Parts: sequence; C-alpha cells; structure tokens
Amino acid sequence: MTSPDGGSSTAPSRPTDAADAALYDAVAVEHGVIYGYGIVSAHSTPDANQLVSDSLAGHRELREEGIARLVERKVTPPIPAVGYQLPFVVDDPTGAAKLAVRMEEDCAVAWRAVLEQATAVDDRQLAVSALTRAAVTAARWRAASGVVPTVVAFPGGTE
Amino acid sequence: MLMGTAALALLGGPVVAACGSTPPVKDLDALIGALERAHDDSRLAGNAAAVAPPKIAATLSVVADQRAAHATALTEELTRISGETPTPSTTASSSSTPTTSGPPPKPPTAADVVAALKQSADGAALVAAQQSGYRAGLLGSIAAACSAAATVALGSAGATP
Repeated sequence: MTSPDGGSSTAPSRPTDAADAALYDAVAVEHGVIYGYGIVSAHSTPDANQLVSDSLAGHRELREEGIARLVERKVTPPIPAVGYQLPFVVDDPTGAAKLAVRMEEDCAVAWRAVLEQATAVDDRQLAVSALTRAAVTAARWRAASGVVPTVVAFPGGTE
Repeated sequence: MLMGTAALALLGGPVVAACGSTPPVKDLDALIGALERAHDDSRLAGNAAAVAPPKIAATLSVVADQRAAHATALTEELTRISGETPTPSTTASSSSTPTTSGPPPKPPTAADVVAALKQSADGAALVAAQQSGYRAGLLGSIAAACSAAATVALGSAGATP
C-alpha cells in the first residue's frame, strides 16, 4: 500500500481511544488509497476505466464518512500526506491492478480493525460495509487481471 | 517508515481477546447460527461443484473450501469462549440419503449457491454489528468473503440468478 513519504510535523496526533484511533487509521489509509488510485488510473487501460472510477468514488465516500464521524466526536482527522511511497514500481496495467489489489487488502485490514475496536453499532455497520466493499473491489481487480481465485476466505483477517 | 508496512505496522495488534468474560448465551446462538450456515454453504457449494461445468466447478470448490474455513474459525472461537467444542446440529443432514419417498432432489446449481451466500453475507453482517472485538471482526470478514464470492467469483461465472 502507499505509505506516507516525508514527515509532516503539523499532522494531527493519533487519538488515544482505541475506537477513535482505529477510525483515524482507516481514514489515513483511505487518504493513501485515493492517492494510489491516481497512479492506478494513470497506468490502467481504458477497459479498467469503470472499475477505477467506481473504486475511487467508493474510497472518497468512505474517507468523507470516516472524517465526519471523527469530527462528530471532536477528533481532528488525519490529513493526506505530502506524498506517498508505492510498495513497488507501477509502470504498466499489470502493476496498476496489483497495486489496486494491495490497497484494497490494506483497506480491509484497516476497516476490520475499526470493526473490532468500535463500541457503537453504527460504526460497526460502517466498518462491515467498508470491509465488504474492499473485499468485493479486490476480487474485481483480481478478476480483471486474471488472478485466480478472485476471493480470499478472510478479507482483512489473518485466520 | 518502510513502504508497504504502514497499515500492518499500525494495525498489527487489533485482536484483543476478551479474557475472563463469560459471553451471554445470545452470543453463542448467533455464532452457532453462523457456523451452521458455513457448514451448509460448504456442502451446497461442494454438491454444486460435482455437477457443474469445469470452470464454474473450480470456483464452487474454492467457495466450498472457504466456507469450510469459516466453519473452522467459528468452531475455534466457540470452543474458546464456551470451553467446549460445539456439536454441529447439521451433521445429521450431511447424509445425502433422502428421508422422504419423493423424487430425488435436483442437484444444486451455482445460482443456488449465490443465493445462499448472499443470505449468509447479510446474516453475518448483522451479527458482526451486534458483536464486539475479535468476534465482530471475524464475522465481518466472513460477511465480506461471502459477498465477494457471490457477486464477483460466482457472479462472473454467469451464476447470477
């Protein structure tokens, strides 16, 4: 997945409450993923246009929802990093699809953590929905790039 | 920070077992329900794989294996919280011998499996929102896996009912 590149000393601090911290982390992951989909878009073929735009729209929605919930509980949400390092070189459609799968897997991990740490039912509902969307989108990217099987047994988990 | 490890490093320890707490019976019932659905789906997908065209059969076998893995994980969690291995009430129905004297049942299709997985996904998502900690996470992953299998893996196999 994309990781922050360079220090931003003005970044808000991670909350100490476990539920808030997990949501904060998920929003930070979504920031990176939205950045990463720019790279995916740049290197994808037109066949993947719909998948790119659907994925990106979904992550924007989750990021905004996560930010709104943090603000509601007086937590300063994370801001996007100045830049992100990619986990590997992406310079063709195959690499783009691989990056997309990797980012969706990281989202699944982040939202499962929200699910496990949350204390409110509606946060768990958001997290299950986000986890499911990440699993479905990852499967779509695997299918688009011919990876078999397209599904994993425990998205976001280590079972 | 090393690239690619950010999320894992941050979220490496979300599995916090609720040590020493005795879960209410409601928790057990919900988990046993999810366990039975996992067994049922695994069996259904396995039976459908036996009669499906090769390409869809391969996908159905993957689904059968994954639902079996869900059953294993749920059994482990039930054993952990209750101190005893759950006795699956569905093992009796694993025999394919029809109990009534009607025509033999039609073998399940991929579409039947898709319908079952969608129900299982909805059920697991509901229970996940009511549970907490590891159990919520486990059920969420199961819901996500069922949705992806129903809508992508089998959806692209032309199995959408």
